[in-house]
Amino acid sequence: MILYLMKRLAGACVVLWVIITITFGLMHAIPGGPFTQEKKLPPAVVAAVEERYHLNDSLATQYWDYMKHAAVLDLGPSYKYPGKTVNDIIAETFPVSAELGFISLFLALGVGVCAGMVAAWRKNSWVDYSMMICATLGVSVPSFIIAAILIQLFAFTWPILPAAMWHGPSYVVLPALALAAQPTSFIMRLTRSSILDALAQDYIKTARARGVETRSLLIHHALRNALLPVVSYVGPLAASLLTGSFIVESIFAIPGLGRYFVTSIYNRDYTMILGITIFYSFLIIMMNLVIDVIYPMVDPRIALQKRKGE
Amino acid sequence: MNTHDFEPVDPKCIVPIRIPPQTLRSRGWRQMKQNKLALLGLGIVVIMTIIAIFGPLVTSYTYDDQDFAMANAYPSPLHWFGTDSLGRDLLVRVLYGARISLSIGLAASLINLFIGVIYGGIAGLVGGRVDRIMMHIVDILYSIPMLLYVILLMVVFKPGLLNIYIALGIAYWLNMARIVRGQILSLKKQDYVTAARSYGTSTWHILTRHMIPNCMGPIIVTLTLSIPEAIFTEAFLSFIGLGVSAPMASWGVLTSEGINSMRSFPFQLIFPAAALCITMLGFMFLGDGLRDALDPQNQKEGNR
Repeated sequence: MILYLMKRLAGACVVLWVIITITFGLMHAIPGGPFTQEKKLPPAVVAAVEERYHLNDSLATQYWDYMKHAAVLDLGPSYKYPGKTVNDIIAETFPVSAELGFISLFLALGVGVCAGMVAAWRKNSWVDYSMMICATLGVSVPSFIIAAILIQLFAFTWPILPAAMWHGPSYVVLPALALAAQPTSFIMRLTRSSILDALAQDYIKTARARGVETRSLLIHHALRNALLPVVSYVGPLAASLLTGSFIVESIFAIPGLGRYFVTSIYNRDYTMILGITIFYSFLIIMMNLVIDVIYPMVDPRIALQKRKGE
Repeated sequence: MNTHDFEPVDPKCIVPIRIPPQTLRSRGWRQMKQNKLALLGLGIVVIMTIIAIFGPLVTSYTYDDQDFAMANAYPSPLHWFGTDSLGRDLLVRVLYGARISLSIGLAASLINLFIGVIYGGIAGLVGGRVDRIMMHIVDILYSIPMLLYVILLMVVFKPGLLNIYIALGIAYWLNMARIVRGQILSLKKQDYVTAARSYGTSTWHILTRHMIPNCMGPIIVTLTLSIPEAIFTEAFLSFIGLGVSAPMASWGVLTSEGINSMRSFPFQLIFPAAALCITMLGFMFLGDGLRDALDPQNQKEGNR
């Protein structure tokens, strides 16, 4: 177990190194540079700025410096917000994103699994059909349209919730719904089809023949097996919530990291883009690692050493 | 034992049983015909494609004709979908948007297909250590949030149509590679492939006659489902300001412009959003239907 963890952690480090190298390379492939602007700056200012951010060092030196700092999780200064480091900004804004993200995560998992179960239980009834129609709609409508509809409905037509900003519990509802809509639909479809799969298994038939009630059959026998694909979806789910937060936080003017990321794309604040990308990748990789470690606990058939997908 | 227990069968009653050979196409089509949603999806996709190709040819405006006197005009007989803040006809822009969004979906998916089939095909065919290493690379890439790298690519290269094709194409081939490799691996063990090999059939012949036709089902399904994903991603990129550059507009650009003005001019959001959502639904229905029809082993949703 410990050996496995060590192995995986080493692997994650290699992946992070590759990621940092790729992002660094991409960022330095930009023609011009982070300070090339329409307005010409005096050469002395340019020189001073380049000196300050070590931009006139050789590429190898810059790379080595960046790696050294990244190794201790120091992502450097922001070009557009002088005096603030990328770390400051992440520390300031990420808690908000994390709060929204976790609420959406649990919303998506809870509602998705329950609804999927009900749909599978009442297969081919109108409940099932209407749920699946909702799920298909949820998968095919982009989150910014869902957000727009939610704002229109619940903030303007029927003003019961705030349309934007982030000042308390009632401000969480709409963004969380907009963010969770798509993953919820996906989990719903996933749960439904995997429960239907599980219900077709022999051990379910045996249990049914023994006279086990449908409801307890569903909860005690089918659900446990049906949840496995859902557990393995938590990794991609976290990733999709993360990218979804860019849009949702921008629309609802939530001061989270996602909105900051979008702003720094608009501003072409390269160290911010670079830093946040690395931070997010780190987060996702760690998340996947945790899920891979948890997975065998849920499903004892999978031994840790075996690679997933084999 | 008395043999007269059984009446001899009247030869006239013997009807030769003729089962038509079940090709993928005939079986798939038969199943598709029963699936009304899939047919609806197919219809939507076909209509949208026709609109995208021929729509812009029959309109009286162009996508960048500006008419400030008519800015933000509500839908009227003159401008069926109204106009945007620069007085450009929204109907024409939605029609052109269809062209751009669908072409992005198609181009990105074809690049996916190309890379994925070659990569997965090599991994599956060669097998052994090469396969292990290649699939390990895929696993590693899989754990990286690709969308971030698409964003990064779009930041580095200028946002433009061609760059969107390329960025989306090279980011999302992983799924295709996995599916092709899995198919090839399982097909390699099939008896008829062993049989063909024992006859001395060449590898090329086995590949083209046995492997590729049998991989087609999952490949088509993955391809169909990757088109809406690409359109979706493009809409997302447009929203964060990395979409196609003005005055061209994809549905994503039109929708995100519409969101900015939705309080005052809701029609500017409704029309492009409806076009986008209807098309997405069409592809989803079609993809699901194709999956049920062509790929009976793989009906789970787990592999995106």
